[in-house]
Amino acid sequence: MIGAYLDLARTHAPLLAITAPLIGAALAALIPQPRLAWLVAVLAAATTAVIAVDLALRAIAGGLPPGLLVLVGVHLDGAGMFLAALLSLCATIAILGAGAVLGEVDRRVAPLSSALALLALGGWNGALMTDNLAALVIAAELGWLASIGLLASSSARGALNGAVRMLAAGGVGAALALCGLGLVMRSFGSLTLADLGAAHVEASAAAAVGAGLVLAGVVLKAGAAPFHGWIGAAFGRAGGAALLVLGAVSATGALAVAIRLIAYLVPAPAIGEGLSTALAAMGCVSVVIGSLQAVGARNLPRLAAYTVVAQAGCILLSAALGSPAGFAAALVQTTSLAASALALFGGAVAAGVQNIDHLDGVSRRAPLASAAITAGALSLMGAPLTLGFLGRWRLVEASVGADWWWAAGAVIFASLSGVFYGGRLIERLYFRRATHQFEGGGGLWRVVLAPALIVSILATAWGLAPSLLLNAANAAAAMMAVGA
Amino acid sequence: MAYDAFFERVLFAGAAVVIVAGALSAWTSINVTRKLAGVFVAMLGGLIALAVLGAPAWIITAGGAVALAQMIMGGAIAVRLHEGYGSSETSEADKAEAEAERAQ
Repeated sequence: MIGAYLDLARTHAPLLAITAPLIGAALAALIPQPRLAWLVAVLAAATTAVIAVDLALRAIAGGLPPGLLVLVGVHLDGAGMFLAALLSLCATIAILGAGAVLGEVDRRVAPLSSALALLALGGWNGALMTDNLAALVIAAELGWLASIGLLASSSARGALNGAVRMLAAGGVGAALALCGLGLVMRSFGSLTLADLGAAHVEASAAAAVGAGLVLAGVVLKAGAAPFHGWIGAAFGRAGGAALLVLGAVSATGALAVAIRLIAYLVPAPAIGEGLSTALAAMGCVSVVIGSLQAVGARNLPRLAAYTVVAQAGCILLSAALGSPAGFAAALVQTTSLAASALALFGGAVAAGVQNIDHLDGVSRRAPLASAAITAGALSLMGAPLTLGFLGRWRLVEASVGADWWWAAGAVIFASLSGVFYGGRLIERLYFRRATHQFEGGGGLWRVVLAPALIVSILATAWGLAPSLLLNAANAAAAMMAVGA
Repeated sequence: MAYDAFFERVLFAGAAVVIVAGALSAWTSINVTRKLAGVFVAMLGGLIALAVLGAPAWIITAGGAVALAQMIMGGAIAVRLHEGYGSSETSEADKAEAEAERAQ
């Protein structure tokens, strides 16, 4: 009996990966008790994660399973399935960890926060599995607006400033994307993603502008420079729950959608080369600006946000290569970004630290949080045997193979900057005496943050035995053009 | 036919100008209400561009729904921001947050 229901769920996996979080969001919003609403949210996210991971493993191992029901409007590709699985896992861990700081949110608003986190996951998953460019843009907007709502629901008033900036930036991005959709539709004759690569384009300039505008709308949400003006204000003063979900879900989700979109647009012969060049330039700018701002940051969540900008640059560089090796490198780096985001944001929430000066000697009071922050810092440095090193190495290999030597230079710059700001964190944690009162810890529910910290440490250490991840990323990249 | 194509280009150019004007207001204004107005104007320009280029009705409707959601959310945030800082200007909020960080 249970087996029959499991088979039914597996048959409808693509639909469930999108609708499960949306249904969970509706349920969580209706429940008045914050803790119960949070439990429903965790269950819904975990269900989505199991479905998405199972689908990705089956498809990547042996192609799309026979009998899989793929509805009209859904298109399964390697990047979408890999990244939806990654995103769903991150969302589960982040929403679980948010339970540790649920008390910081107003009781009346807490169920809505849980619902908004699930809505964000549903939006980004929808953008990763749709077959239509317009639906991708609309679903990404849903994920983005839900993230803004989650940030604004924080009890910290500083979060409102960040929410306004996110809304302004995202709103302009949405307007540009809508204009771009019109131009793409007119130039390519279709908005179906699978048709874009082979479509006959009559007006290549209009097609290039349209594709560029749609990409700009998505890349802006990922925090790539020079469109990242919102990120410091948004992350710098976000409440604990919002910080975890914004870092692990929204930043990862936006980059995932960008990778998928690039995979369809760059192979289009009329516009591919120009788009590739523009993305590569943006990637380099993002690496440099993000790294420099991270070096100068004094607020830990803001520092972590600027590292996201730098890593987004590396991911854009990888995807801009347009080769299977480049996309595989982008997928590995997205996994690394998700792990380091969980590590740094989770560690900041667990240790109750905003200002970097307050990290002094925290390792004695919060060893697990300190270990997570250290793991994140090492990964950002690109220290050997970490996931961060693996992702950057793959990028260097792919870019040298394409004679993009300057991209390898950008990666080295990112790593050297990481040594500076990551090393500063480790030095304060382990080699200084405490100078401020410790504000982390306390409360039984703090234990639910442990999975986020442990998973981020283990994921960073995945660089020790990466064959599963590398094979999955290679298979997913090879599947890019194959779908239902 | 040539007149139609010319008229279409003029309308599209107008939509692009509206988007740029809205974007500039949204990005450079320090007043939250003007930022939101800029976002609304930019979205309006985007919807006009979609209509001029012959997008299907469902895309224009969905875009309109997104614009509406942005305005509702923006309005709620603007009210809370004013309650929290006593001002609708992001520069005042930045100043207050910088002082709070220095005090820490």
